[in-house]
Amino acid sequence: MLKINDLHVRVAGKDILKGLSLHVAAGEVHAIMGPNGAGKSTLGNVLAGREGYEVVSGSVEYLGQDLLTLSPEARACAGVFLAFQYPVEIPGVNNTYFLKAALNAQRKARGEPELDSIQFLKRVREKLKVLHISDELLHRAVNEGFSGGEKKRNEIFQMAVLEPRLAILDETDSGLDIDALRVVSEGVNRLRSPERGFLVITHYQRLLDHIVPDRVHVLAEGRIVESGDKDLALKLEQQGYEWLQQRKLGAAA
Amino acid sequence: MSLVDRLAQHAASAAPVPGAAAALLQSSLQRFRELGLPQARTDGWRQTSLRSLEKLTPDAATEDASAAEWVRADASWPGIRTLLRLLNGRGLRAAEHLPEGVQVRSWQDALADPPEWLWQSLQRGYGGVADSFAWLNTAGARDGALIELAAGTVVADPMRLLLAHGAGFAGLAQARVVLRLQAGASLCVVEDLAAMGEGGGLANLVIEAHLEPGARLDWVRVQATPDAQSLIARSRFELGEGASLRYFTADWGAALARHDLEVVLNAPGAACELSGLSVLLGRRHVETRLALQHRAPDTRSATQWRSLADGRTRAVFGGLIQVEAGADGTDAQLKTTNLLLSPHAEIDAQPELVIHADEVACSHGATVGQLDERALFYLRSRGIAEADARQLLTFAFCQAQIGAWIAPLVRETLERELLARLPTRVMEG
Repeated sequence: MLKINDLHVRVAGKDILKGLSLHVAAGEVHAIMGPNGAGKSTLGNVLAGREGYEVVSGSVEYLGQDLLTLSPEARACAGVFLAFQYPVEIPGVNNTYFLKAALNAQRKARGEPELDSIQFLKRVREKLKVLHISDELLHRAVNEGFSGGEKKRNEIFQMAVLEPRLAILDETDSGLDIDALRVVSEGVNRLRSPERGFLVITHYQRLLDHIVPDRVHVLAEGRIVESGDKDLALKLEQQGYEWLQQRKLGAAA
Repeated sequence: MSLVDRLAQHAASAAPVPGAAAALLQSSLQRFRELGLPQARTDGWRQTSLRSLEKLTPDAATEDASAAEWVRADASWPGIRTLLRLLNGRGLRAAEHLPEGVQVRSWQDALADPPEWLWQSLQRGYGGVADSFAWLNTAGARDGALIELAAGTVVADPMRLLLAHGAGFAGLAQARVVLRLQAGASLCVVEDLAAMGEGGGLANLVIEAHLEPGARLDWVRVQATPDAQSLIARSRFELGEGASLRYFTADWGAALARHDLEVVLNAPGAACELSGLSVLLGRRHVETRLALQHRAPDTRSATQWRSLADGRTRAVFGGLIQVEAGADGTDAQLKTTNLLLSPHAEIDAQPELVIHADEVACSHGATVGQLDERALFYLRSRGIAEADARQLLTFAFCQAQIGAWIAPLVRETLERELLARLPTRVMEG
C-alpha cells in the first residue's frame, strides 16, 4: 500500500533523508527505529504533508497514487493518519466538534454520508471505552491542558474514530508510563486488520513488546540501514545503535 | 459654521431643564465650546482622526422604527428581558414590570431633580479636550435613564439595555445611562448597541455605573452599530469597597468607533475582570482606550483584550493601568493578543502600567500574530480543508475570549452573532 523509493528530503537547507526506501503492504505493522536525529520524525511529517519539508528526489506511492502531490487534508481523506509526537493544543476548538468535523470531511470526500450527532456520539463512546478516556476530555478544547499521556491517548482515540488505512505513529510511546503504554498499544492492536497498514516510529523497543511488528527497520543517517523481523528490535535493545555504527565502519574499512 | 459650532448649537437646542441643573448644563456647553474637538496632536487621540465627521449634520431628523423592526430587535436576544430601549438616543421606553428594588427614571427627570450623589458626579465634570465629547453629552443629552438598585437587590436574570441605532438616521444622537447599585446589590446587564437597519451620523453615548460596597455587576456590551455610523462612547465604572465588576465588550460595528472605558477601584477589596474582543471586517476603525485606576490597597484587576483585523480595518487598543500612591497590595494583570489577517489591516496595541505604590503584583504583555501554522497543519492532517481550518481557528480565537462567567443565555446569542460574522462551515454542520 505504501511504496517509498529513494526518498531525499531537505529541511531548512539540510539533507535529512538521503535515499530512503521502504515498502509497507496492507495488513502489516512496520517499526522504524533509530538514533535521535536519524530522520524518523521527518519521515512521518513528509508522509503527512507538513510544509517546510522539501522533497529533493524520490517518490512515495500510496494505494497507487502519488502521495507527495496531495494536500495534507487530501492525504487524510485518502486514509493517511499521523499520530503526532507533539500533539498541538488548540484553545477554543472543542475536541468533539473538531473530531466530528474531521470525520465528516473525510466521509464526504469519500462519497459516504456524513454522520449526524447521534451516530457520531455512538461511535465515539465505543472507542472511548477501549482507550479508558473519560467523557470529560471530549468537552475540553483540543489537547488544551491535557497531560502528556492524555495527549497521546487522544491521538490514538482520534485514530480509532477516523479508522485510517495507513497509520503513522510518531514516537507515540515517548512520555508514557507503563499503564498508558499498555492502553495505547491495545488501542492500536484492536485496529490491526488485513486492510490496514502501520508505520510505528519509536526510539525504544519496549513499545514493540506490546505492538508486535511484522518488520523492523533501522533508520540511520537518512536511510534504512538494516531490516529484519521483530528479533532485530531485541538485538538493538541489547547491543544499542553503537553496534550498527561499528558494523558500518567495518564495512567501510 | 464649524463642526464644533454645529454640535454646540445642537446641544443648545435641547429641551430646557428646570432647577439647578440648568446652569450646570449651560457651563458644560460653554466648556465644550472652549475646548473644541480633539485634534491629531491631542494626547490619547493620535490614533483616531475625526476628519470623517466634518460633513455631519447634527440636526437631521429622527424617526421611529416600524413595529416589525422593534419586534425583531426584541427577539434578537432570546430569553433576555429588555429593561429599557432607545432608538438613536430618543424615545425611552422602560419595561413595564420592573424587578423588585429596581427603579428607572428618564434622564430628563433625573436632571430636573437629581439625587445628591448624581449631582456631585455631574459637578465633577471631566478633563480637557480629550474629554470634550463627554462635556457635549452632559450639555445636550436629555434622553437616557437613571437606574437605581436598592441595597441588597439581587436581579438574577440578565437585563438588556437596547440602545439601537440606524433607521436611516444621519444626525447626532446623544444619550446617557447612569446606574447606581446600592450596597450588596447585584445585576447583570447586556448593553446592546444594535443596528436597526442602515444609518449614519454620530452617536455620542455616556454610560456610568456606581457600585457601592459589596455590589456586583456583570456587564456585556455588544457594539454592532450600523456600518456607516460613527460612535463615540464613554463607559465609566466606579467601585466601592469589596465591589466587583466583570466586563466584556464585543466590537464589530461602526465605521469609526472610539470607546473610552474607565474603571476606578476606589476602595479596598474592589476587583474587576475586564475583557474585550474586536472583530473587524471590511472597512472600519475601532479604538478602545482603557483607563484603569487602582486607588486603594488590596484591589485586583485582570484585563484581557483581543483584536482580529481583516480587510481594510484598524484596531487600536490603549490599555493604561495606574496604581496610585498608597494602593499597596494591588494585583493588576493586563494582556492583549491580536490576530492580523490581512496585509491591508493594522493593529496597534499599547499596554501601559504606571505604578506609584509598593508591594504590587503587576504585569502586562502584547502579541500580534497570524494563525498558528502548527494548529493549521494539525487540523488539515485530520482531513479538514485548509479554508475550513482557517475559519475554525479564527472563530476559536474569538470564541475563547467569551468568558466562562457570562450567563449561558447571553453566551448563546454572543456566539451566534460571532458565527454570523465569521462564518465557519464546520461549526454549522
